Amino acid sequence: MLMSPILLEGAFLLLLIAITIVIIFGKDLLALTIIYCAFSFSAMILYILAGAADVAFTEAVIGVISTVYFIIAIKSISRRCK
Amino acid sequence: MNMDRNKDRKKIVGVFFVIAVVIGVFFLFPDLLPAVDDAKAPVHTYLSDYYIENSLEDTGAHNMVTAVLADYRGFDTLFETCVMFLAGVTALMVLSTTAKVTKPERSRKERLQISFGSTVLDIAFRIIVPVIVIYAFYVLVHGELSLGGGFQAGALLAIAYMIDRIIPSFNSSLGNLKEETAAVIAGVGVFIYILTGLLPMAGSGNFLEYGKLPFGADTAEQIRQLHGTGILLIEIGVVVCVMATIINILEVVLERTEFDD
Repeated sequence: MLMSPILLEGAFLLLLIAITIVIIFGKDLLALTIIYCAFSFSAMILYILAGAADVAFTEAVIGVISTVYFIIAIKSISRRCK
Repeated sequence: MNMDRNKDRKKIVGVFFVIAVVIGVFFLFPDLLPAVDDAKAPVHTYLSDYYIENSLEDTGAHNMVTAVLADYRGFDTLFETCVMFLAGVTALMVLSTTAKVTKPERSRKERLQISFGSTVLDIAFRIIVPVIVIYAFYVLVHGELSLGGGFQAGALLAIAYMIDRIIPSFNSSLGNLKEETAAVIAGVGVFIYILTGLLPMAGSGNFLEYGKLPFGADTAEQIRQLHGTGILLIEIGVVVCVMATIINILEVVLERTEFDD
């Protein structure tokens, strides 16, 4: 194994925190929606590392659906926020 | 402008302060939290052992998650399904006061021009939709053996419909479900679930006691198979409800959104 699981877990946890900070302060809502998709992806990897494959599967599916909902919502408001 | 930046800086400092405090608290008391894989952690000492030892024998489901969700905790899942249904109905109620946006009728050629702008995407989605639908049915039927179950299968079916709906150049092959129809179908899903729960009461069983479904089972092996049948039936209910609810919310929002294409 290239990386020990605990290191991988730590890396993805840090990624989650970094993505959250970016989402809080970003201005381009469409780009942030795609970044939110990355959030859901890293959460999925974390679930797999924790051995919860069922939850990871659900997270992957729901990540797609929420991204589509967000994009439809953004289409009806302005793309950038102040 | 200057005040805005000042405000922003205060916000950033505030967020980092909260994150630092939360992480600091976790680092201060590492001994109070159980390790991730600790078998002696309090949450793992109450029922886990019973489920691990007896779930296959009790329910016949190889996937322990499905056994707990659909069999031991079937009553909880029933009301989770009801919550999905209520979410869809609520979206319909709240947004139905807003007028629908009338969209001009367009020919297929025109729609192809205003679509995502590529024939490749169009063809790619045509290929991927049937695969998603087949995978959804696989996840549904295989729920008690491997990953997945009703909720995931319903969401996958809804994704197939979504793709079909939001690619404008697509001649919608799955049809165009009205939002009211979708809400009714979601209700039918909950009805299937409750009906499955009521069936054992025709014999001598309790609500959702799959082992006493009135299909004539005598031996222990047959009763175990009945559990599998019960799980499959309620998961069909969950699939119908989840799929219709997601489509319902999608349609409610799509019909009232103005796209500048």
